[in-house]
Amino acid sequence: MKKPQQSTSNQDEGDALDALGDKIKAAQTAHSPDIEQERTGWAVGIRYASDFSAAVIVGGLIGFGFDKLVNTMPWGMLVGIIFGFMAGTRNIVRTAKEMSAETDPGQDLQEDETDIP
Amino acid sequence: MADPLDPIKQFEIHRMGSELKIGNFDVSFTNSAFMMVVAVALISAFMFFGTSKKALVPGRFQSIAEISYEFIADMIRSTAGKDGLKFFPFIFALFMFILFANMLGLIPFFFTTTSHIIVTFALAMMVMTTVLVVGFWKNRLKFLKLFWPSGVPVLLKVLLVTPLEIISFLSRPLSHSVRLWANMLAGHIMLKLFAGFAIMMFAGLAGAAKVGAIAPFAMTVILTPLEILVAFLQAYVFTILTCVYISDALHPGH
Repeated sequence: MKKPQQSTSNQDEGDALDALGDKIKAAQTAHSPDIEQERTGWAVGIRYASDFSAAVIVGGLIGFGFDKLVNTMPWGMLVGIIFGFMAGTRNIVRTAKEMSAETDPGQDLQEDETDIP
Repeated sequence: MADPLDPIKQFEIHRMGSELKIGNFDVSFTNSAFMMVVAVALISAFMFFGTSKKALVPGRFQSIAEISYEFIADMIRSTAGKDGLKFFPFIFALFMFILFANMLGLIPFFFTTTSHIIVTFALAMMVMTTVLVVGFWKNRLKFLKLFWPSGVPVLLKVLLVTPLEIISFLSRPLSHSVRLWANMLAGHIMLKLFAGFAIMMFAGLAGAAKVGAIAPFAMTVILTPLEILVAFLQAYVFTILTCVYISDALHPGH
Protein backbone atom coordinates (compact mmCIF):
# COMPACT_ATOMS: atom_id res chain seq x y z
CA MET A 1 0.00 0.00 0.00
CA LYS A 2 1.26 3.39 -0.93
CA LYS A 3 -0.88 5.29 1.52
CA PRO A 4 -0.35 4.01 5.06
CA GLN A 5 -3.31 4.37 7.34
CA GLN A 6 -1.88 4.43 10.81
CA SER A 7 -5.17 4.70 12.64
CA THR A 8 -6.57 1.35 11.50
CA SER A 9 -5.30 -2.02 12.60
CA ASN A 10 -5.00 -4.91 10.15
CA GLN A 11 -8.31 -6.38 11.26
CA ASP A 12 -10.20 -3.16 10.73
CA GLU A 13 -8.58 -2.69 7.40
CA GLY A 14 -9.79 -6.08 6.20
CA ASP A 15 -13.31 -5.31 7.35
CA ALA A 16 -13.23 -1.93 5.70
CA LEU A 17 -12.04 -3.50 2.47
CA ASP A 18 -14.78 -6.12 2.60
CA ALA A 19 -17.36 -3.42 3.16
CA LEU A 20 -15.92 -1.42 0.31
CA GLY A 21 -16.01 -4.50 -1.91
CA ASP A 22 -19.68 -5.06 -1.05
CA LYS A 23 -20.42 -1.44 -1.79
CA ILE A 24 -18.69 -1.64 -5.16
CA LYS A 25 -20.60 -4.84 -6.01
CA ALA A 26 -23.89 -3.20 -5.10
CA ALA A 27 -23.08 -0.09 -7.13
CA GLN A 28 -22.06 -2.20 -10.10
CA THR A 29 -25.24 -4.24 -10.13
CA ALA A 30 -27.29 -1.10 -9.54
CA HIS A 31 -26.21 0.48 -12.77
CA SER A 32 -24.25 -1.72 -15.06
CA PRO A 33 -23.75 0.08 -18.36
CA ASP A 34 -26.79 -0.53 -20.53
CA ILE A 35 -25.13 -0.45 -23.86
CA GLU A 36 -27.92 -2.26 -25.62
CA GLN A 37 -30.34 0.43 -24.61
CA GLU A 38 -28.23 3.13 -26.16
CA ARG A 39 -27.72 1.28 -29.39
CA THR A 40 -28.39 3.64 -32.25
CA GLY A 41 -30.78 2.64 -34.99
CA TRP A 42 -28.03 3.41 -37.47
CA ALA A 43 -25.75 0.76 -36.00
CA VAL A 44 -28.54 -1.82 -35.98
CA GLY A 45 -29.33 -1.02 -39.60
CA ILE A 46 -25.72 -1.47 -40.69
CA ARG A 47 -25.51 -4.71 -38.80
CA TYR A 48 -28.53 -6.18 -40.59
CA ALA A 49 -27.43 -4.80 -43.94
CA SER A 50 -23.89 -6.15 -43.65
CA ASP A 51 -25.12 -9.54 -42.46
CA PHE A 52 -27.43 -9.86 -45.41
CA SER A 53 -25.29 -8.40 -48.17
CA ALA A 54 -22.16 -10.26 -47.09
CA ALA A 55 -23.94 -13.59 -47.53
CA VAL A 56 -25.22 -12.60 -50.98
CA ILE A 57 -21.76 -11.46 -52.06
CA VAL A 58 -20.07 -14.58 -50.74
CA GLY A 59 -22.71 -16.82 -52.31
CA GLY A 60 -22.29 -15.04 -55.62
CA LEU A 61 -18.51 -15.29 -55.44
CA ILE A 62 -18.63 -19.01 -54.69
CA GLY A 63 -20.94 -19.52 -57.65
CA PHE A 64 -18.68 -17.38 -59.83
CA GLY A 65 -15.61 -19.37 -58.80
CA PHE A 66 -17.45 -22.59 -59.57
CA ASP A 67 -18.32 -21.18 -62.99
CA LYS A 68 -14.71 -20.31 -63.69
CA LEU A 69 -13.62 -23.83 -62.82
CA VAL A 70 -16.29 -25.79 -64.67
CA ASN A 71 -17.10 -23.21 -67.37
CA THR A 72 -20.86 -23.03 -66.90
CA MET A 73 -20.93 -19.29 -67.01
CA PRO A 74 -24.13 -17.78 -65.67
CA TRP A 75 -25.63 -20.75 -63.88
CA GLY A 76 -23.32 -21.26 -60.95
CA MET A 77 -23.42 -17.59 -60.11
CA LEU A 78 -27.22 -17.51 -60.31
CA VAL A 79 -27.58 -20.49 -58.01
CA GLY A 80 -24.89 -19.04 -55.74
CA ILE A 81 -26.68 -15.73 -55.45
CA ILE A 82 -29.98 -17.48 -54.68
CA PHE A 83 -28.26 -19.51 -51.98
CA GLY A 84 -26.61 -16.32 -50.79
CA PHE A 85 -30.01 -14.68 -50.44
CA MET A 86 -31.22 -17.61 -48.36
CA ALA A 87 -28.10 -17.58 -46.19
CA GLY A 88 -28.46 -13.83 -45.79
CA THR A 89 -32.02 -14.22 -44.61
CA ARG A 90 -30.83 -16.86 -42.21
CA ASN A 91 -28.13 -14.47 -40.96
CA ILE A 92 -30.72 -11.78 -40.37
CA VAL A 93 -33.01 -14.13 -38.46
CA ARG A 94 -30.05 -15.23 -36.33
CA THR A 95 -28.98 -11.65 -35.67
CA ALA A 96 -32.51 -10.64 -34.75
CA LYS A 97 -32.69 -13.56 -32.32
CA GLU A 98 -29.37 -12.60 -30.77
CA MET A 99 -30.43 -9.00 -30.40
CA SER A 100 -33.74 -9.82 -28.77
CA ALA A 101 -31.93 -12.22 -26.44
CA GLU A 102 -29.49 -9.45 -25.51
CA THR A 103 -32.21 -6.95 -24.70
CA ASP A 104 -34.28 -9.51 -22.82
CA PRO A 105 -32.31 -10.26 -19.67
CA GLY A 106 -34.49 -13.23 -18.68
CA GLN A 107 -33.07 -15.25 -21.53
CA ASP A 108 -29.43 -15.98 -20.88
CA LEU A 109 -27.53 -17.22 -23.87
CA GLN A 110 -25.32 -19.98 -22.53
CA GLU A 111 -24.38 -19.64 -18.92
CA ASP A 112 -24.20 -23.27 -17.82
CA GLU A 113 -21.84 -24.60 -20.41
CA THR A 114 -21.01 -28.28 -20.26
CA ASP A 115 -17.51 -28.95 -21.46
CA ILE A 116 -17.24 -30.70 -24.76
CA PRO A 117 -13.96 -32.58 -25.03
CA MET B 1 -16.35 22.06 -54.04
CA ALA B 2 -13.38 23.67 -52.43
CA ASP B 3 -10.64 21.15 -51.93
CA PRO B 4 -10.08 21.45 -48.16
CA LEU B 5 -13.80 20.94 -47.60
CA ASP B 6 -13.97 17.72 -49.56
CA PRO B 7 -15.50 15.19 -47.12
CA ILE B 8 -13.69 12.26 -48.72
CA LYS B 9 -10.24 13.79 -48.59
CA GLN B 10 -9.72 12.80 -44.97
CA PHE B 11 -9.47 9.16 -46.01
CA GLU B 12 -6.55 9.68 -48.37
CA ILE B 13 -3.41 7.77 -47.55
CA HIS B 14 -0.13 9.62 -47.77
CA ARG B 15 3.33 8.27 -47.60
CA MET B 16 5.38 9.49 -44.68
CA GLY B 17 9.11 9.60 -45.17
CA SER B 18 10.86 7.77 -47.97
CA GLU B 19 9.49 5.02 -50.14
CA LEU B 20 10.12 1.47 -49.01
CA LYS B 21 9.68 -1.53 -51.26
CA ILE B 22 9.82 -5.26 -50.75
CA GLY B 23 9.83 -6.78 -54.21
CA ASN B 24 6.94 -5.14 -56.00
CA PHE B 25 5.03 -4.33 -52.84
CA ASP B 26 4.95 -0.80 -51.57
CA VAL B 27 5.48 -1.08 -47.83
CA SER B 28 6.13 2.60 -47.19
CA PHE B 29 5.20 4.03 -43.85
CA THR B 30 1.87 5.85 -44.31
CA ASN B 31 -0.31 8.09 -42.21
CA SER B 32 -2.54 5.05 -41.66
CA ALA B 33 0.37 3.06 -40.28
CA PHE B 34 1.38 6.07 -38.24
CA MET B 35 -2.04 6.26 -36.58
CA MET B 36 -1.90 2.54 -35.82
CA VAL B 37 1.47 3.06 -34.16
CA VAL B 38 0.03 5.98 -32.19
CA ALA B 39 -2.93 3.85 -31.08
CA VAL B 40 -0.68 0.99 -30.00
CA ALA B 41 1.70 3.36 -28.22
CA LEU B 42 -1.19 5.03 -26.38
CA ILE B 43 -2.69 1.68 -25.35
CA SER B 44 0.69 0.45 -24.13
CA ALA B 45 1.32 3.64 -22.20
CA PHE B 46 -2.18 3.53 -20.74
CA MET B 47 -1.90 -0.07 -19.62
CA PHE B 48 1.69 0.40 -18.42
CA PHE B 49 0.98 3.44 -16.27
CA GLY B 50 -2.37 2.00 -15.23
CA THR B 51 -0.79 -1.12 -13.81
CA SER B 52 2.63 0.11 -12.72
CA LYS B 53 1.53 1.29 -9.27
CA LYS B 54 -0.50 -1.78 -8.33
CA ALA B 55 -2.17 0.15 -5.53
CA LEU B 56 -4.76 -1.69 -3.46
CA VAL B 57 -7.02 1.32 -3.70
CA PRO B 58 -6.74 2.21 -7.38
CA GLY B 59 -6.04 5.68 -8.61
CA ARG B 60 -7.63 7.17 -11.72
CA PHE B 61 -5.51 5.44 -14.31
CA GLN B 62 -5.56 2.15 -12.50
CA SER B 63 -9.36 2.33 -12.19
CA ILE B 64 -9.78 2.78 -15.91
CA ALA B 65 -7.35 -0.02 -16.62
CA GLU B 66 -9.21 -2.30 -14.20
CA ILE B 67 -12.61 -1.34 -15.61
CA SER B 68 -11.47 -2.10 -19.14
CA TYR B 69 -10.10 -5.44 -17.99
CA GLU B 70 -13.29 -6.39 -16.20
CA PHE B 71 -15.48 -5.16 -19.03
CA ILE B 72 -13.84 -7.53 -21.50
CA ALA B 73 -13.49 -10.40 -19.03
CA ASP B 74 -17.22 -10.21 -18.22
CA MET B 75 -18.07 -10.04 -21.88
CA ILE B 76 -16.07 -13.18 -22.61
CA ARG B 77 -17.47 -15.03 -19.61
CA SER B 78 -21.06 -14.28 -20.55
CA THR B 79 -20.78 -15.05 -24.26
CA ALA B 80 -18.06 -17.69 -24.65
CA GLY B 81 -18.07 -19.26 -21.19
CA LYS B 82 -15.18 -19.70 -18.76
CA ASP B 83 -12.93 -21.50 -21.20
CA GLY B 84 -13.20 -18.53 -23.52
CA LEU B 85 -10.99 -16.62 -21.10
CA LYS B 86 -7.96 -18.24 -22.74
CA PHE B 87 -8.54 -15.82 -25.56
CA PHE B 88 -8.60 -12.82 -23.29
CA PRO B 89 -5.32 -11.32 -24.54
CA PHE B 90 -6.43 -11.52 -28.15
CA ILE B 91 -9.91 -10.13 -27.54
CA PHE B 92 -8.68 -7.43 -25.22
CA ALA B 93 -6.06 -6.33 -27.74
CA LEU B 94 -8.69 -6.26 -30.47
CA PHE B 95 -11.08 -4.20 -28.40
CA MET B 96 -8.49 -1.70 -27.25
CA PHE B 97 -7.03 -1.28 -30.71
CA ILE B 98 -10.39 -0.70 -32.39
CA LEU B 99 -11.57 1.58 -29.61
CA PHE B 100 -8.42 3.70 -29.70
CA ALA B 101 -8.33 3.78 -33.49
CA ASN B 102 -11.98 4.89 -33.61
CA MET B 103 -11.58 7.48 -30.89
CA LEU B 104 -8.35 8.91 -32.31
CA GLY B 105 -10.07 9.25 -35.65
CA LEU B 106 -12.57 11.66 -34.11
CA ILE B 107 -9.86 14.19 -33.34
CA PRO B 108 -9.70 16.77 -36.13
CA PHE B 109 -6.90 16.26 -38.69
CA PHE B 110 -6.29 12.74 -37.42
CA PHE B 111 -6.63 9.76 -39.68
CA THR B 112 -9.10 6.96 -38.92
CA THR B 113 -7.44 3.63 -39.60
CA THR B 114 -10.68 1.70 -39.15
CA SER B 115 -12.34 3.70 -41.94
CA HIS B 116 -10.43 1.60 -44.47
CA ILE B 117 -12.00 -1.74 -45.21
CA ILE B 118 -8.68 -3.47 -45.70
CA VAL B 119 -7.78 -2.76 -42.08
CA THR B 120 -11.07 -4.03 -40.68
CA PHE B 121 -10.97 -6.97 -43.06
CA ALA B 122 -7.52 -7.89 -41.82
CA LEU B 123 -8.83 -7.76 -38.24
CA ALA B 124 -11.84 -9.92 -39.20
CA MET B 125 -9.58 -12.42 -40.96
CA MET B 126 -7.46 -12.63 -37.82
CA VAL B 127 -10.60 -13.54 -35.90
CA MET B 128 -11.71 -16.08 -38.50
CA THR B 129 -8.28 -17.71 -38.65
CA THR B 130 -8.31 -18.03 -34.88
CA VAL B 131 -11.79 -19.54 -34.97
CA LEU B 132 -10.85 -22.06 -37.65
CA VAL B 133 -7.56 -23.08 -36.05
CA VAL B 134 -9.01 -23.34 -32.57
CA GLY B 135 -12.16 -25.06 -33.80
CA PHE B 136 -10.30 -27.79 -35.63
CA TRP B 137 -7.60 -28.10 -33.00
CA LYS B 138 -10.05 -28.44 -30.11
CA ASN B 139 -12.80 -30.49 -31.72
CA ARG B 140 -11.03 -32.09 -34.70
CA LEU B 141 -13.69 -33.03 -37.22
CA LYS B 142 -16.48 -32.45 -34.74
CA PHE B 143 -16.06 -28.81 -35.63
CA LEU B 144 -17.81 -29.56 -38.90
CA LYS B 145 -20.95 -30.23 -36.86
CA LEU B 146 -21.38 -26.49 -37.14
CA PHE B 147 -22.52 -27.17 -40.69
CA TRP B 148 -24.35 -30.39 -39.86
CA PRO B 149 -27.09 -29.51 -37.38
CA SER B 150 -28.97 -32.35 -35.73
CA GLY B 151 -32.70 -32.79 -36.05
CA VAL B 152 -32.91 -32.07 -39.76
CA PRO B 153 -33.65 -34.73 -42.42
CA VAL B 154 -30.47 -35.76 -44.25
CA LEU B 155 -31.77 -34.90 -47.72
CA LEU B 156 -32.70 -31.41 -46.61
CA LYS B 157 -29.34 -31.02 -44.93
CA VAL B 158 -27.36 -31.95 -48.02
CA LEU B 159 -29.43 -29.85 -50.38
CA LEU B 160 -30.15 -26.80 -48.32
CA VAL B 161 -29.01 -26.43 -44.75
CA THR B 162 -25.33 -27.27 -45.11
CA PRO B 163 -24.70 -25.01 -48.14
CA LEU B 164 -26.52 -22.22 -46.37
CA GLU B 165 -24.52 -22.72 -43.19
CA ILE B 166 -21.27 -22.75 -45.15
CA ILE B 167 -22.15 -19.55 -47.00
CA SER B 168 -23.29 -18.02 -43.75
CA PHE B 169 -20.01 -18.97 -42.10
CA LEU B 170 -17.91 -17.69 -44.97
CA SER B 171 -19.82 -14.43 -45.01
CA ARG B 172 -18.85 -13.73 -41.42
CA PRO B 173 -15.46 -12.10 -42.01
CA LEU B 174 -17.01 -9.92 -44.69
CA SER B 175 -19.97 -8.76 -42.62
CA HIS B 176 -17.71 -8.46 -39.58
CA SER B 177 -15.42 -6.05 -41.38
CA VAL B 178 -18.10 -4.19 -43.34
CA ARG B 179 -20.00 -3.39 -40.16
CA LEU B 180 -17.12 -1.58 -38.51
CA TRP B 181 -15.85 0.03 -41.68
CA ALA B 182 -19.23 1.33 -42.87
CA ASN B 183 -20.01 2.84 -39.50
CA MET B 184 -16.71 4.65 -39.23
CA LEU B 185 -16.69 5.79 -42.85
CA ALA B 186 -20.27 7.05 -42.87
CA GLY B 187 -19.91 8.76 -39.51
CA HIS B 188 -16.78 10.61 -40.51
CA ILE B 189 -18.17 11.68 -43.88
CA MET B 190 -21.30 12.98 -42.16
CA LEU B 191 -19.34 14.93 -39.58
CA LYS B 192 -17.05 16.45 -42.17
CA LEU B 193 -19.99 17.26 -44.43
CA PHE B 194 -21.84 19.26 -41.82
CA ALA B 195 -18.68 20.97 -40.62
CA GLY B 196 -17.86 21.81 -44.23
CA PHE B 197 -21.37 23.25 -44.74
CA ALA B 198 -20.90 25.49 -41.76
CA ILE B 199 -17.64 26.85 -43.13
CA MET B 200 -19.01 27.25 -46.65
CA MET B 201 -22.14 29.05 -45.49
CA PHE B 202 -20.16 31.36 -43.25
CA ALA B 203 -17.66 32.18 -45.96
CA GLY B 204 -20.06 32.28 -48.87
CA LEU B 205 -23.05 34.19 -47.57
CA ALA B 206 -23.08 37.91 -47.07
CA GLY B 207 -24.02 39.98 -44.05
CA ALA B 208 -26.84 38.79 -41.80
CA ALA B 209 -27.25 35.56 -43.79
CA LYS B 210 -24.05 34.32 -42.15
CA VAL B 211 -26.19 33.50 -39.10
CA GLY B 212 -27.59 30.58 -41.09
CA ALA B 213 -24.26 28.80 -40.64
CA ILE B 214 -25.36 28.10 -37.08
CA ALA B 215 -27.65 25.28 -38.26
CA PRO B 216 -24.97 22.98 -39.76
CA PHE B 217 -22.62 23.92 -36.95
CA ALA B 218 -25.24 22.81 -34.41
CA MET B 219 -25.57 19.53 -36.33
CA THR B 220 -21.82 19.04 -36.04
CA VAL B 221 -22.00 19.61 -32.32
CA ILE B 222 -24.90 17.17 -32.00
CA LEU B 223 -23.24 14.54 -34.16
CA THR B 224 -19.92 14.55 -32.33
CA PRO B 225 -21.13 12.83 -29.13
CA LEU B 226 -23.13 10.44 -31.30
CA GLU B 227 -19.94 9.58 -33.15
CA ILE B 228 -18.13 9.01 -29.86
CA LEU B 229 -20.92 6.61 -28.91
CA VAL B 230 -20.69 4.86 -32.28
CA ALA B 231 -16.91 4.62 -31.94
CA PHE B 232 -17.29 2.82 -28.64
CA LEU B 233 -20.28 0.77 -29.74
CA GLN B 234 -18.58 -0.54 -32.85
CA ALA B 235 -15.54 -1.61 -30.87
CA TYR B 236 -17.96 -3.32 -28.49
CA VAL B 237 -19.98 -5.00 -31.24
CA PHE B 238 -16.82 -6.17 -32.99
CA THR B 239 -15.46 -7.75 -29.83
CA ILE B 240 -18.72 -9.31 -28.68
CA LEU B 241 -19.21 -10.94 -32.08
CA THR B 242 -15.63 -12.16 -31.89
CA CYS B 243 -16.55 -13.75 -28.57
CA VAL B 244 -19.61 -15.37 -30.16
CA TYR B 245 -17.54 -16.77 -33.02
CA ILE B 246 -14.90 -18.09 -30.64
CA SER B 247 -17.67 -19.64 -28.58
CA ASP B 248 -18.78 -21.41 -31.76
CA ALA B 249 -15.26 -22.72 -32.18
CA LEU B 250 -15.07 -23.95 -28.59
CA HIS B 251 -18.50 -25.52 -28.44
CA PRO B 252 -19.81 -26.35 -31.92
CA GLY B 253 -23.29 -27.74 -32.35
CA HIS B 254 -25.02 -24.87 -30.59
